[in-house]
Amino acid sequence: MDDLFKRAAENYPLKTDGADWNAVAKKLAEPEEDKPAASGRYKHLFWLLLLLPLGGIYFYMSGKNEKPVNTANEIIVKQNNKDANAQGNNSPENIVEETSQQAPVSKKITPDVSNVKPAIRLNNSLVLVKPNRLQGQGRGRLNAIITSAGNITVSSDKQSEVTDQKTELATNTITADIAGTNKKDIANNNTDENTINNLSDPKRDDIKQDSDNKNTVEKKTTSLQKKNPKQKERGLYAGIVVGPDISTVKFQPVKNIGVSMGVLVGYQINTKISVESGISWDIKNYYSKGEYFNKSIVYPNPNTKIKSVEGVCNMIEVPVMVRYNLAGDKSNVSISGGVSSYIMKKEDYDYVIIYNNGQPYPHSSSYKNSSTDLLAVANFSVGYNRQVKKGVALRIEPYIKIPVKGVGMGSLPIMSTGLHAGITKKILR
Amino acid sequence: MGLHGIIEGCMQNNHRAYKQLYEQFYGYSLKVVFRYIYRYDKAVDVVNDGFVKVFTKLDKFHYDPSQNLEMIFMGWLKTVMINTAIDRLRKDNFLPEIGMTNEEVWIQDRLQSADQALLYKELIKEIKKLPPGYRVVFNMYVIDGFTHQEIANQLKISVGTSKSNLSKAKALLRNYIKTNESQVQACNT
Repeated sequence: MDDLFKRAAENYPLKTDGADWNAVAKKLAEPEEDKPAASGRYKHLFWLLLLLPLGGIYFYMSGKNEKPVNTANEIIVKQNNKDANAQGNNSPENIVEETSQQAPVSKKITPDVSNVKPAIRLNNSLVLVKPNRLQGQGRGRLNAIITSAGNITVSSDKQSEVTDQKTELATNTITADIAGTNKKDIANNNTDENTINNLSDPKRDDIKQDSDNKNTVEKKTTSLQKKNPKQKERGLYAGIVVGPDISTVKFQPVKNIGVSMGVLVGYQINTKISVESGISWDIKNYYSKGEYFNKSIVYPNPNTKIKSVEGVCNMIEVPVMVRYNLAGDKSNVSISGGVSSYIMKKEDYDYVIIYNNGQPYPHSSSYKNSSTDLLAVANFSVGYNRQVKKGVALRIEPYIKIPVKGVGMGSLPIMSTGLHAGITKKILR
Repeated sequence: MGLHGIIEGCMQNNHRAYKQLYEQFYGYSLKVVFRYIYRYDKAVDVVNDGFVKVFTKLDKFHYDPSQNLEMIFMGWLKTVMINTAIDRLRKDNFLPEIGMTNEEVWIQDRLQSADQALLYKELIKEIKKLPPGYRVVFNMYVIDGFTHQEIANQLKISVGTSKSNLSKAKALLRNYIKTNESQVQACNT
């Protein structure tokens, strides 16, 4: 029976005069349809490159909407002498003005003004004194001197502290011991008698308000300073990475470049060490001679040999890495090491197979959800990280992945190298 | 131009050589593919796809000049065509097709007797009536000389399934031969 069918297959009368070369020429001119991954993989890369700046813009805008934090409350001392003179207003509230502006100011000081004080004018400066001193209740030094340059000098009863502050005093600043017995000296310095008279009976409410304001300022400053020391930032961060992937088997020729893109999540243990994991979608292209391809699953027949194989594989990679940051603040270099597992989603292979007669034949096969290879490669990378704003950093990271075991249907030892570019943001502290 | 020259021209992407090769081996390829693909127009399409593969992968064809080039090339071409036909069947999930083969696809072969031509035509029609899975296994094993292991690898089935499909295909064809025994015997003599 078999021979009969063989003869029938050779000699059956079929119409074979319909050869249409134009149809074949048209197919030859068309791009190949049997490798959709070629355009598909660059489509993935295109969309990710489009999304990456959008992600960066989102991170930037979300950071911009946060309220700016004042690192310190600033107390601006303004010399209101001219204004005060013009307006005839020498009340203490004109002396010190506090603000929480971020704009740089001429001076930052935190005077102890808890006991402020009426002021007397000496030349072009206002001198704050303890009221009881004016009233002659005891000896003592001036508690605060405001120079024409706008500096405040806070003095205690100790002579030495006053001496230290002398350099800050303008030439037209005078320190005086205004114990009750020295009133005359002050008067001899051409002080405004009216001013003295006014201040001898200070507006205690104004002074108290001023002192309250200054106490508030002082507390805010202290609390802010406590909030924003040079902290060791710990916490969770996340990001996205993308980049080209070059894969080879046993250093054989590279046929095409793949792509790797994914999300990462990490935990910063301290300034030096963090641990990272994530998920990435890798598309790897590689070529191998048949001797490295384990055909026991795909072609177990011992008489069938694989001469060569070209593969395009889509896989999910799950890395686990430890990162060590080298010296640096806003920008630093880091080194990472870890392992990755591969979940093979689709493997497309073009084989050249040699059958019994010794002739090579091309053949293609595709395998879906073919294998899961745990701890398949060892990862190493060196990265450059740059903080672009608080909590947001850009990274450029060349890497190499060395196979620990074979992956995929053919158990090929695939080594990969490439470059990851990404952006990370702290999400939990 | 001999086959050697045509193949060399094809390797140099000479479209004239492509056309010559296509026209020379079109009939042979169609007769191979038509055993696998039920519909004639689909078989023609598969043959054209197969030739595109041949032209693009001709660099993988190696031959020893001392060997019979035509025989070697035809063996290689047959395998490419079979692989292309199986890929098309796989794309259609090996679903059987209904309907009759158009009688216009057959010719009157003057090189053999009418009875023989009729018998061969009917035998091929019976093969085409088999379910696609049985048809492929029967064609590959009985007519094209593949082993069960090679068939299993190609079709992603087990060797046991390949043997089982072959057995069932033969059982179906044996029924036809029994029915038309006299005709078969007349052609065998």
